[in-house]
Amino acid sequence: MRYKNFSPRFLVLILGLLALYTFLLGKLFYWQVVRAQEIKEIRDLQSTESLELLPERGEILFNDNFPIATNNINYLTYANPKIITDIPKYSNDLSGVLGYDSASISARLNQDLYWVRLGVFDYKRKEKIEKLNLDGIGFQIETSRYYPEASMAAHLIGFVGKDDQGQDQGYLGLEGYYNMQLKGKAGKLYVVKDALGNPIVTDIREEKKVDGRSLLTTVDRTVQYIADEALKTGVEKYGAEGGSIIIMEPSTGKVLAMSSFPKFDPQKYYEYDGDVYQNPAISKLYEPGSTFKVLVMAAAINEGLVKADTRCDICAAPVQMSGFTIKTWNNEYHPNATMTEVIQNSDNTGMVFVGQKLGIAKMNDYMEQFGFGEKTGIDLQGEASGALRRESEWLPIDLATSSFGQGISVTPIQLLTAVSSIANGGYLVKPYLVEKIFEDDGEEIEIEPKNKRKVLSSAASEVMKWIMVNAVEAGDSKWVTLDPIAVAGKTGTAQIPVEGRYDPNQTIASFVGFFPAQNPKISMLVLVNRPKTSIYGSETAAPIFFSVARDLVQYYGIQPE
Amino acid sequence: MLLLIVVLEVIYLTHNSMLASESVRAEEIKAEIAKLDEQNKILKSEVLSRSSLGVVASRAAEMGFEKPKEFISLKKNNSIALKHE
Repeated sequence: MRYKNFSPRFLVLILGLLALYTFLLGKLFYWQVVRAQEIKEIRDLQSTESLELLPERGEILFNDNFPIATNNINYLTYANPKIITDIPKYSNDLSGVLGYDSASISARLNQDLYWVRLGVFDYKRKEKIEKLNLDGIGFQIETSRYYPEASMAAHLIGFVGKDDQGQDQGYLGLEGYYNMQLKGKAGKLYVVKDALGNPIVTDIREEKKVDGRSLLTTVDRTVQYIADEALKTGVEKYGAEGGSIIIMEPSTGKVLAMSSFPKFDPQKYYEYDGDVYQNPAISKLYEPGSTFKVLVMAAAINEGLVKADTRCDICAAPVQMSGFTIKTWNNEYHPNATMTEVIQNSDNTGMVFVGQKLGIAKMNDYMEQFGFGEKTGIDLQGEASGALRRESEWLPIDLATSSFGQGISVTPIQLLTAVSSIANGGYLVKPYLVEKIFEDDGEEIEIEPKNKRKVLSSAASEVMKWIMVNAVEAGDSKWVTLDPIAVAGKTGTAQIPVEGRYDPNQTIASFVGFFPAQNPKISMLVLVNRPKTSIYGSETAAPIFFSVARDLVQYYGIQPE
Repeated sequence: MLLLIVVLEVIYLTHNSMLASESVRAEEIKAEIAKLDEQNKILKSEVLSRSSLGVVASRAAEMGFEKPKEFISLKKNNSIALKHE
C-alpha cells in the first residue's frame, strides 16, 4: 500500500485540509445558492438605486391630428423656510407673482418646516419667480393632462382623475373607455453605485417604460366647433335646460361630432357637479316622440304592409282604444291620408293605423333589429342600453303609443344609428370614434367600420327616404330648408313623463335627418331639453339642425344633385 | 514583476478615470435631453393654445371676418357667358 509511507502527522494534515476545504465549499454553497436571493437583495439595497420611470399618457387626436387631449408640464413650486432670513420681504416679493396675498404666504413660510408647497404653476409664472432671485425656492416638473380646445367636446373626451392609489385614471368618454390603452406601463431604472456612491455607467439596468398609445378619432374639429357653437346659441335662445347634437357619417358610423350642453371643462372637472359629467347623447334615455315614426313606417314598408300611397282609413277622427283617446298633436284630422301625408302631418292616428298593420310581434322584432334595448357599442364609457318590454308584456295600447314614439325609451345615439339605416340602404352600423391606434413603437392599428346587420331592404329605405324629404319640404318645419340640397328629416316633440303622467309644458324637442338625400353624407340628431320659448321641435331643434347643416354644406362643399 | 504591477495599476486607474468622465458626460447629456424635452413640451403647448379654434375664431372676429350668411348653388349647367357670333 502506497499510503504506508506517509507519516500519521502528514495524513492528519491532509485530512484537516480536506475537512477545511469541504467546510469552505459548504459555506460557499450556503451563501451563493441557499441564501443567494437574500444576499442579492441586500447588495441591491446597498449599491443599487431604483427609479420609477413614469409612462406618458397617450394623446387623443381629432381627425386632422390636432390634439383633443395631450400632456402639459407644470412646476410644483416649493420653498425652504429654514434658509429664508427676511420672511416679510420674501412673502411680499412672491405675492406679486403668485397672486396670493403676502399674509398667507408669510403664514406658510413661518412654519417650522424644511419644505413648504407654494403651488403648481405654468412655465410663464415659473420664469417670473426665477427672476426674483430668491433663495430657497425649488421647482419640480409635474405632467398634467391638457385639453387645448378647452371644453370643446368635453362629454366625448371625459377626464383624467386619480384612482384609489393616486395614479392617473381616465373617467367617462374616450379617456375612460380607452384608459388601458392610453395609460401605458411604468418602467424602472436600476443604477449600480460604487463604494463612494457614484453611479457605475456600465452597470445601469432598465426595465423600459411603455408610453400610452395615442388615438386618432373620427371627430372633425371644425364640425365639432360648429355643433358646439350652434347648440350653445340654440339652448340660450330657446331658454332650454340643455341639449345634444350628434353628427355621423351614415354609411360607416363614423361620429364626426358629438356635443352636449351644459358642458364642463375637463381640465377643471372637480369644479363641476358630478351630474354634468354624464354624456346625455349616449347615456340619457328619453321618449323619442314623433322622430320614432319614421322607423315604424320604414318597418311597415319593409314588410310590404303599406306603401307611400296607402291610405289611412282611421285618420278622420280621434282613435278610441282600451279606454284611451288618441288624438293628433294639433287636433286636426286628415281623412284618407296617404302614408307620405301621415309622416308629413306627423299624424298620430295614421301611425296607429301603421302600428296595427305591423302587429305586436313584428313591432317588437323591428325594435330589436333597429338596436333598441341594446348598446350600440360606441367606444365611449357610460353608454346606456335601455330596455325593451318582452313580446308577452305588450298590450294593444302599447302598440298604438309606441307607433308614435311614446312609452318607449331610447338613447339619442340609438335613435340616430337606427335612422341612419334609412340613409345608407338599410344597414344598422356600429357608431365609432377611434379609427386608428398608434402604438409606442410606431405600429398602427386601424379600426374598420362595422355593419351590425341589414334591417331594411334598399327599396324600403329608398321609399322611406323620400317620405322624409317630403316631410321636411311640406311638413311643420317647411320654413327652415336647405334649398337646393334635399334634406330627409323628421321633427319630434316628446312630452316628458313626470310622476306617471305627461307634462304638456315640458318637452324634449328634436329633429333627426340626413342630407343630401340622394347620397347621404351626413346624418344628424338635434335634441333640445325643455325649451321655454316653444315646446315644438319644429320651432327649436329644426332651426338648430338647419343652421348646422348650412355650415356643413359649405364646409364639405356639398353640391345639389 | 514590480514593473508589471505598476503597469497594471496605471491601466486600472486610467480605466476608472475614463469611466468616471463618461459618467459625468452621460449625466450632462441626460440633463440636456431632459431640458430640451421640457422646452419642446412648453413650445408645443404654446403652439396648441394659440392655434385652438376658439382662439382662431375670436382673432378672426377681431379682424372683421364674418360667417357667410348664405350660399348659392347652380342647379343646372347653365352657361355663364355666351359668345355672340
